Amino acid sequence: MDTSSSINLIVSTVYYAITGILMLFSAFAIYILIRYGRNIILTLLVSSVYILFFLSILAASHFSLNALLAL
Amino acid sequence: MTSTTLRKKLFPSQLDNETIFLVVREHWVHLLLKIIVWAFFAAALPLFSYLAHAYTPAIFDGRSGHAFSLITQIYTLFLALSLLLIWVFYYLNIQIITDIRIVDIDQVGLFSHVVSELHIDKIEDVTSETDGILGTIFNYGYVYVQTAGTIERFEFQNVPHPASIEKLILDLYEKNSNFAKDTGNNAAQRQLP
Repeated sequence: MDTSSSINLIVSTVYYAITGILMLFSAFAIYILIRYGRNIILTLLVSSVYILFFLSILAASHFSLNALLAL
Repeated sequence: MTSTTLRKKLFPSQLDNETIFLVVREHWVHLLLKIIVWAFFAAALPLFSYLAHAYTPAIFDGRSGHAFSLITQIYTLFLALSLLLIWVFYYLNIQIITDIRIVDIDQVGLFSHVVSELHIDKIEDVTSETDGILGTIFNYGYVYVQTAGTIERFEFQNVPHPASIEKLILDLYEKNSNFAKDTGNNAAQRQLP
């Protein structure tokens, strides 16, 4: 990853800040769902579907970031 | 794992011999309205992509193409999180009516979980309200329970069949009053923690 230029540094910092906050909120939402949810199967099903979807989009965005910074 | 262990108690102080009469959430129409608003934001993504393809196809080349992909992917993450939160708040906000109390469980925000209980014998007044076009068509509205306790009024917001809920609460109150007259006890004196 080429972060030598200041613009690349800013872009990558903003990206990690935004995705970090999204991950924190996602983790907390899943935590309260599992903690206060009444049906364990339903909560685990929803949580796992969401985690799979979120991580796949996150991985795709990371590839996009790497491609962007490499240019 | 048995079916009983797959379901936790509905609320922490629930007794083993406590009869649950009703578990009610917000009417599905309200959830649908929120999802429709969410869908507008979600639809903006493919619409914007389509317009960009049609009018500025050069945006998808080179560095700007990668930037466009990155922005749409981050926007998708926001959409996914907002949909999860819409559903979590719908699922975790419930009201429960048992034979001895009314329990209001509110997930106010991500970091605020409030459980309020009202013993049936503390009820002073119950009012149901159906308001608006959607409320009239789909029969949902508000139920207000006036109390003699610390919390002066319990509110059931956007619940289905508010008149039925009002009747149920009043029937339970009357049943509890008759039980108290017959035995000299009331619901508050049953073995509560």
